[in-house]
Amino acid sequence: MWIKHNKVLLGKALFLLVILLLGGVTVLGCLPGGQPEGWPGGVVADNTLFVGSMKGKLVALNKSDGSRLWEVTLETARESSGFGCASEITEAPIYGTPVLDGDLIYAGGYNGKIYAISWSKRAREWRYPSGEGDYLQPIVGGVVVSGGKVYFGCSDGKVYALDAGTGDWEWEFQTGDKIWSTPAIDGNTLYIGSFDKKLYAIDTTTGEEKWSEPFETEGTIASTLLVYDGTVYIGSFDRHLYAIDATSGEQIWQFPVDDEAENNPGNWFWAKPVIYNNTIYAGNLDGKVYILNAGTGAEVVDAIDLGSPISSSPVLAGNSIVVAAEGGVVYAIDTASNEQKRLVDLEEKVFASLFTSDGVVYVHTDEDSLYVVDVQTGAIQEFNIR
Amino acid sequence: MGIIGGIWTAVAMQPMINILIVMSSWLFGSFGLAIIGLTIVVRGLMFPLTIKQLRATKAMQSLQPKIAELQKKYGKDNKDKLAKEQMRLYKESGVSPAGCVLPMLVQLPVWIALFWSIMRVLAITPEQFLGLSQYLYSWPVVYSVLPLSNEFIGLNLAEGNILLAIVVGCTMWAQQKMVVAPSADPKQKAQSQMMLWMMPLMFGFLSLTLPSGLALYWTVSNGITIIIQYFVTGWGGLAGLIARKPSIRDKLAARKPPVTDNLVARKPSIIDKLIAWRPSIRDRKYKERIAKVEEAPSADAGIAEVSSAQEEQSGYEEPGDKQQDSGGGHLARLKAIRRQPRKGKGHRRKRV
Repeated sequence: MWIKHNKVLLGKALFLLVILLLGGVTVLGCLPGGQPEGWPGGVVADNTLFVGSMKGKLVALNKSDGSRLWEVTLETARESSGFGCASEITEAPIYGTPVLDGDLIYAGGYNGKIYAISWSKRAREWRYPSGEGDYLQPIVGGVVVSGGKVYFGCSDGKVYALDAGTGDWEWEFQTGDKIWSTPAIDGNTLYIGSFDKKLYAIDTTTGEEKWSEPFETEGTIASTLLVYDGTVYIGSFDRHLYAIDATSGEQIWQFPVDDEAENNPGNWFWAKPVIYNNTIYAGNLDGKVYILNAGTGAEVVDAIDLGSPISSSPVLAGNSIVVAAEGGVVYAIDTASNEQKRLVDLEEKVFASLFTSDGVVYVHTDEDSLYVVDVQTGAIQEFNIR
Repeated sequence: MGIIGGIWTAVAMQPMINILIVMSSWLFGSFGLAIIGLTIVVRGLMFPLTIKQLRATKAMQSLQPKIAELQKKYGKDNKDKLAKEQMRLYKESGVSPAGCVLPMLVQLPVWIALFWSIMRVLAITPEQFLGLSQYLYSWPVVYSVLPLSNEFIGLNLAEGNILLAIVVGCTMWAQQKMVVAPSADPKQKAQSQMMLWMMPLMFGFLSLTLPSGLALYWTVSNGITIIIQYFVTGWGGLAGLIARKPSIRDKLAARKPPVTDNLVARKPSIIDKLIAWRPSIRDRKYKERIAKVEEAPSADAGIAEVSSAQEEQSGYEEPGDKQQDSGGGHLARLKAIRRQPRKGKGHRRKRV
């Protein structure tokens, strides 16, 4: 019968092909990752929550009831061109966790600017670069404030140090590739990983490299590192977690030791590890939490499989390590027994770092909701930050 | 992710993405070369299907005049008969309309997988980069080479590029032009024309707005299609554009000579001269007559009778002979004869 209408069919088939191709391409903007949206965490001060929204805003909420106190848009959002399905395009998506220091809250934008927002004025204090049309490459990692300076890494491969009060440039340090990692400060040394697979130790005063040569892994370093008790812990895309002497840059241990072992990590270490009681809890994108002895790198217990990638950095709340799997299920790992307890399924994706205060954990989802999860009971409360 | 999504990822996306990354590692870490290489490999693997599709399309096009005849014959009134006749025509010709569509539909998922693989590996946003991690095999080469550099011969493969967009549009147009068959049906003609322009414009626009890594893929893919089409169906609709541009002389030769051309005599060639020298039958008669006159014994003899047989046997006299004869008064006598008016209307003077 269709031969009867063969010409019509051929025409339709051709149109279908075109529509499939064009339709598939057109909806790119609707699919996860088509447009940068950000995965900002938050910070708690007194009775106020400061959270970055996925619309490029810094939102202040009442910690008790989640009511909105105020919000500041980092850059004015523009309307979508109509291509794709985004109603408006966020001008400054935030990926790093905002940092509070005194009256100023600092956040880096994917648009290539660092913003300092005054809590008291509820307005932007400064931005870097300050020029209207001046931008750095995208800033994906978070910022660190220490000793009157703001430090951050940029996709142009540089580490920048700015005056925390004015935003004036202090120094910069060039690495071999993009930086998406959040720096860590210990004393007067800044540690940061780069896409060039290297970990750098930089003098915060001079901006000069401290180690004779950077520590090199076999994969990109995009994760946020942890510095604790003279040791730097960092995960790499080469599926290893490393412990490095903070002073010399020498490797103390690596996990796994045997690359051919059966239960080795199956993916990248993306999330920042957590240390408690000489035990490292490191989430992996293979969906497992690896629990290691901080001194030796040996597995304390078998890895806990949460069934979904772990890209959100866990947090210590009371005696529990709270981990959110990407699929939206939140778990609490008891630090004494190293057993996991399922707290709640938020049914929304989680990429943002968790943050905690007073026995509750705050989880920012990809739907731009902020959930308050009680670590003991798993009870949740939703705050809207859209 | 549903079952279909899982199968799609495991069977199509994951292998394609990992091969793309490995190829990038082999090809000097260049993602651009990897895109070109994998596009060539995939199109090479799809080659038998492409050939099948093109041949079926060509066969279908060759039947169009006959189908048009059938449509004209049966029109809109007898659609059942028309369908039967078309079916019979296809059967007799060994052509299946499905032959055009099915290979294309089989190839479609592969093209889509390649497209999405490139998009995934480009991993422009942090979300995409994070998502890429779920497609990777545990091969050391895969994680050691990531992230791939988006720089390729001065292009940023993660951003749109106007030059590549134009190239995509042009190659797409050429490819479409090659397959568009001339049709007498105005509806089909309009549809073909729309496709001819819509596809290049849309893909050109998409190339401008999407990462140019995709534009690179489309350019290479279009180029390969054009080459394959050329060897299967020839230049098709492009033939008219590719044919030699006619010279002024060709154009002059082609056009009908105006009246003025007859008036303006061109300089005669040697052949023209030779042809011109060739005497007409009438001239030959005259010459034979001259000869007769010269051979005649009596100078006052009248006009000798020349039989038609003699006339036929008489040969061609070279121009030089004429010059040899021109010494005496014979020619003058001949002229005198010729000047004699005929007696009677259309009748020869009776010769004695």
